[in-house]
Amino acid sequence: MIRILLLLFICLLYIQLSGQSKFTISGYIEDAGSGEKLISATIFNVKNQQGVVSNTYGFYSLTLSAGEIELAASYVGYANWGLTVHLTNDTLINIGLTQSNILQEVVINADQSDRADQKIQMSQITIPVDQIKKAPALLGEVDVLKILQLLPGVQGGNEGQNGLYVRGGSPDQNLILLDGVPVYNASHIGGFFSVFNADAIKNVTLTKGGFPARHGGRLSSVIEIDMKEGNMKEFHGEGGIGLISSRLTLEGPIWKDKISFLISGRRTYLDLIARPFITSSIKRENENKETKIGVGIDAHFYDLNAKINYRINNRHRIFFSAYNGLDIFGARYDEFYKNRTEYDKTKGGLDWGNITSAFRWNWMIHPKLFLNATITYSKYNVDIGAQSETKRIDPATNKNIIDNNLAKYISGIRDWSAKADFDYIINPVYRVRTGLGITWHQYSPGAFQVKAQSTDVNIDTLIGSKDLKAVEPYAYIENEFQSGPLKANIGLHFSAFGVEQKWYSSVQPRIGLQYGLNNTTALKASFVTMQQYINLLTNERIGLPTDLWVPATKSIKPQFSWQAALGVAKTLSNDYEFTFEAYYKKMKHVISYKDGASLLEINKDWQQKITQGNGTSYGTEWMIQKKNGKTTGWIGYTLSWNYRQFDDLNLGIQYPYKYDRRHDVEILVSHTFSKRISISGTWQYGTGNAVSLPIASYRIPAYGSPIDLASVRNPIYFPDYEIIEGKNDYRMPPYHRMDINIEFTKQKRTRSRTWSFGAYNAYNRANPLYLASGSKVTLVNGVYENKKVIRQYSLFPIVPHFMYSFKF
Amino acid sequence: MRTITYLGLIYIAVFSSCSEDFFSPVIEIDLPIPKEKLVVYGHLEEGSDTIYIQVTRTRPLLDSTAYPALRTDTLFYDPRDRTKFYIHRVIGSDTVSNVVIHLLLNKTRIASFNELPGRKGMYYTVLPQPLKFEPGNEFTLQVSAPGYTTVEATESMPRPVDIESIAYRKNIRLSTPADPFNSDIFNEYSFYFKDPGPDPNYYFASGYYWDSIRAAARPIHLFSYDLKSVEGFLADESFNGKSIVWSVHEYSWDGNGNGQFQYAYFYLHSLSKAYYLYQLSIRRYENARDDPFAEPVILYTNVKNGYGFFSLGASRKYLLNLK
Repeated sequence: MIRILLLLFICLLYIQLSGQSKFTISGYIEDAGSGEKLISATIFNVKNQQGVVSNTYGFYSLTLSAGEIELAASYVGYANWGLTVHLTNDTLINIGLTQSNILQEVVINADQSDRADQKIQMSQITIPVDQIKKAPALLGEVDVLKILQLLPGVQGGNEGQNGLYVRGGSPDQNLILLDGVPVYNASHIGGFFSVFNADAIKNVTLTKGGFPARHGGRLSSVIEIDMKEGNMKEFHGEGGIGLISSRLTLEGPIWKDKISFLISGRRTYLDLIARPFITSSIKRENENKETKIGVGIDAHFYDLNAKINYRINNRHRIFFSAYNGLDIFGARYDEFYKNRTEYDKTKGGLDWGNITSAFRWNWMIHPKLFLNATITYSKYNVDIGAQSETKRIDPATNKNIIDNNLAKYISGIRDWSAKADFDYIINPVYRVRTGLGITWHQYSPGAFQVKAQSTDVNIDTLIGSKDLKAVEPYAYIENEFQSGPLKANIGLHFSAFGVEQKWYSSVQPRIGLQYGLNNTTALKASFVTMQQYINLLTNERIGLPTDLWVPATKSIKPQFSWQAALGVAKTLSNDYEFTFEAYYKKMKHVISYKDGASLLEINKDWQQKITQGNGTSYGTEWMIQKKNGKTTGWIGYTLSWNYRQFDDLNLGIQYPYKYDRRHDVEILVSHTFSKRISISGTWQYGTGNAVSLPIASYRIPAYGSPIDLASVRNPIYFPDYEIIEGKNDYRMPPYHRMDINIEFTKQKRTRSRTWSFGAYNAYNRANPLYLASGSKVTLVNGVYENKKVIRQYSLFPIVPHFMYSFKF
Repeated sequence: MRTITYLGLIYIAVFSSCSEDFFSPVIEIDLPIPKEKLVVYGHLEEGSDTIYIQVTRTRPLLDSTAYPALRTDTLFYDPRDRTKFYIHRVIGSDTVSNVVIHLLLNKTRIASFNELPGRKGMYYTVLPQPLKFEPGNEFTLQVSAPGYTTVEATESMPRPVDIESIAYRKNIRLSTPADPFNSDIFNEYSFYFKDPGPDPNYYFASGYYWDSIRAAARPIHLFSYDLKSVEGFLADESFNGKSIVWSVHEYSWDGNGNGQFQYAYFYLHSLSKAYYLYQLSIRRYENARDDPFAEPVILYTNVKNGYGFFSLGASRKYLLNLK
């Protein structure tokens, strides 16, 4: 297979290089108003319709025969751009496109490059940030990941949470990249909000299959989130004040058209609102002259994004971006005695957060060759702990006696990485992307720190798993070419992983094909293999950030998958687009906790608690989307099957994955009535989650030893056992929910303000979060009877929200 | 502003008209009522000629009726001294009438069972000769009752394994996972034996002090901190066909702390896979009870169309002089 691919590559290279008397027009395509680079904008020669699309950094390169060239450029939401040039040598043209208002009478053509029937890449969707911002959201907090859950093939896990289960994969199989840096925990408050502040984001792209060779390291999806670069022309700001949080983003030039900055922050303030009430109530209860009480609660998260963009010249640009987000949940209770000379101080809580940073250098080495070199750092850590400090004065010696105790659970991951990506646009029908990189990982897969310090005790111990270090190099090559109606992207991804003196490696072929049946319809096919060296240990009962990131080790093999997909894409009239895809995915060495394994079993290493098995998922995805006009949105439907098989679980029998959903329907519609009023709504329906629910029980005697059992001596007791007939063989009731949002905007000359009102779960559906057995005491004929019951617990009833937003 | 006011009024009108239940996050749901199935509980030991099988049945989870009393059971509270304190209680379990049980050896019926007088749900049979280990022999248990699907389980007897020796260490100090800072004091018994291979073997250890004053055996409460052990059991995956030393432990205060016993005897139980997997799942189930962080446990069964287990074992005894 590898030899065939290499041969093909060499042949194509020869054919393509044999062209003559051609020159290259290259440069960047950007927003004329802000200088923001436009990703996947189209530039083409009107005469022969030959064109290319700009890359992730806005760079394009179009090689054409010498002569009179009528150039055109387009991008969805922007007015078309045109220029006639007499091409006699390599030429640099930076193109600025102007945004168009959809309510103006200007006709905006759908961008060719944005049409699904024109792209080789299948199973990929890009969502405009404006659409994300208009969509309804829980408590008005705009959430990028929740919008992705509304796409076919993507399921959202539990109520309100933003976990992504893509084509039967688990959340750890999604590579979430913020400006190219992996983000390990993309959630705040146990998963109800994502860490991405929509005001700081330029672009969101989800790839579910047919992965190009440049992506690797995860089995199920790649989510690329690009931050804005900062306005090169003018100073601007935007922000919002909501029920539980506020946000502010500022951007502008430090040196016009040379250096720009962007800084964005968001903080919740539920704790600030609640603090005075809690403090006063506790103080009232405990007030006396001898004792002073100090109480504090903390329950908030914040995000900070920052970016600096320096355009050194037309060939060199550098960027630095950083993100810091932290969730803090905790409480403090202090008691002071005897004029504050003695005290008991106790505090406990749960903190988790991400730090990412990236330094990027873009170099246009040659009009056809572009380099993106990046150095990144990513850190994710979780701390759960309790701490106490007691101070007393020994009456005998009059000396201070201080006791300190600390119990802490620590887990996390750190990555340092360096990579170089080359984009070689040989001509409009042939493009090569190649690159290499290396990541150093440091895993801290869960440890308990216990400290006890007093006059006679001094303990400081770490119990649990030790840190693990690993290195992950990779390289790739992609060949994208067109021959008649056939377009292809054929590549190879090589990766390796070194951990505990053991090396794993993998060569992964990637094939994407597109065959144009006519100007509006294309058939697509893809085949990819993927390997993943990192796992997320997730508890199936409760969703806390106590989930652990752990690597492949000597005994835990890397996850592997192959996925084949077939599809049709058709652009219908009036900007409607229809896509259909069928996929089949096989996964090996996926992980799961063993039966009964618990986070609280601190005496066991994480590797003893898990088992590895296989996964299979297949299904079809249907989507009709309207991208332009006053009304935009989509209707998606997924019919899918999703199974797991582990030798150690469910008696070795294959069982449905928790998020196996036979039917999944998603609708998102936004409509702009006027410049002042717009409305949007979503509705989703999904088959109920598959859960392990006991439906029967039995009693059986318990004995101490086999001999006791065989001779029926000394039965200890008759315990009750609840029977789970098969893992995940019970379906919870279906999930469905409608969210609505209405916006009133007032536009002034240099600024605007928007009031948003809406409701999450608008018709108050009691969607199941989990089921639990319990008992209920009822009075029947004067006698109290204890009855067993199964209760369904829901999380959110209808939740109204409002948000005030502004822009200047 | 007027629009906002109207919207606010609509919200107030909608929410003020809702009943308290409207926002209730908890509702009771019905469960499908599953067909009742037979539950079999039986273990056959090499050398036994009397075999006991307990038969009960499943009941729907939401069935709240009281269990019928099977018998009164006596539990002793303090394992160190049987005379100290007893608990008497009524033990109940669902019973099944007119149960027919057959035992087959290599598909040939060798015994039928009768209910044990005074022990409802317990069935027994007396074999013409004691059970013995023979390679390749397969035992099948068939259980049927009116109104229930017939269940059956097939298992082979494991090869008994001799204990070559036992090394005894008294009052040693071990840091335990439960108490990592203040190590506890244990008695340690290290079993030396050779795994026969090549088939998988599963082991369990039990022991008894010989109380010469009362002329009675007193169980030794053994568990294992040996890293090779899983929930007190030992599977031969890592030492198939090789010699092995396996350590089991007893809290020193719980055992022969005063040196009052001169002898103890120990069993090394070779167990069929069903026993190992069932007991493992039971232990995991018990550990996971009431732990919200624990994964749910599916109880193992080798009983086709039913629940419980049918297993075989062969034990070898070793007398240890403690003095």
